[in-house]
Amino acid sequence: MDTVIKAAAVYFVLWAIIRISGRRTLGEMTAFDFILFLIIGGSTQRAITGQDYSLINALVLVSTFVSIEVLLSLVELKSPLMRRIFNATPTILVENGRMMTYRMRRARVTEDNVMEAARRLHGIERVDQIKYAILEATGDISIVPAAQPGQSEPLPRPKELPSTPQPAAPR
Amino acid sequence: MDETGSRKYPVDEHFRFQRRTWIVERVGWVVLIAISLVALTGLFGTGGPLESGLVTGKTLSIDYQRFERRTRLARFIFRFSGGSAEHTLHLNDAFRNTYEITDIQPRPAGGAAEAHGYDLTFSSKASSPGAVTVWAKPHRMGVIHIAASSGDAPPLDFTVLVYP
Repeated sequence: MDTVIKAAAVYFVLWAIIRISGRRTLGEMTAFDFILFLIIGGSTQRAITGQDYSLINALVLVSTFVSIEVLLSLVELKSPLMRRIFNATPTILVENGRMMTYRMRRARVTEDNVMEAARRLHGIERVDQIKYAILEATGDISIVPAAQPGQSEPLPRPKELPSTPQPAAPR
Repeated sequence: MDETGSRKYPVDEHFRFQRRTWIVERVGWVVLIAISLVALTGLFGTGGPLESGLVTGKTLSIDYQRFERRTRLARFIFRFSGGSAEHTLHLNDAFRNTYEITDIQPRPAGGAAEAHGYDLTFSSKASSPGAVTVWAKPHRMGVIHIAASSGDAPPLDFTVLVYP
């Protein structure tokens, strides 16, 4: 019983700390961050297992972690609010070539971070070549490039698509 | 252009929720920093000015740790006063029910674990200069009210908080 309670407590405490640290921490994981995460894992492991290195303890521990994961995924499936709480939501940082400075400051993203992602993903050189830059729930920055002269416009928004008659289903 | 409004395209934003998340994040940073600073004071045990406590009576004084952690060794130093050939030390049942004694220095000349606690006897020669150190491991958490006495003197009460 002790193991299950400890595992659940550690799961939620770690989740809260990682969530508090923000998406940029996860998205910009450096080699040092990786070492830091290993240390966090090591110290919590000792807190959970204590002196008990038995096979049954490991089995109970792993089962508890996986059960919580499955339960939370089911809760997220039912509730969009819980999905937002557990996984964060995407945030637009650049819109039609304009940096949204308030959002970037709050999300701890710099102009350099956005331009780095733009260069890496699309070879973009200037901010006006970006239609959208989006900070994803994972902490990554996605770039939607603006249409260049001579290029076709990006696909229209779904609601702007002309309605096409659907072919009748074969009987 | 308003930055604070939710966009529906190219992603479905929930900007109000996002703003709240940023506020919670910042409150969380303050809490995390506060935990580290408070830990430096000794409030969570393992060193710091707030950690050690001292109670003094007629025949006995006790140096103890106010904040302990479950399964981590705690140290108690009992100092006897008076020139008797033998010192007795009684520790109450709360101590007995909470701690597993792992070491006593110097070794007691006699001792018994009774229902009401521990009764230990030290020869004054062995416990010279009148100090006995007890190392014990708490195996339950919470607020523990410990009472210790030597001889016929009234017991000294002190409280220890054991963290999980």
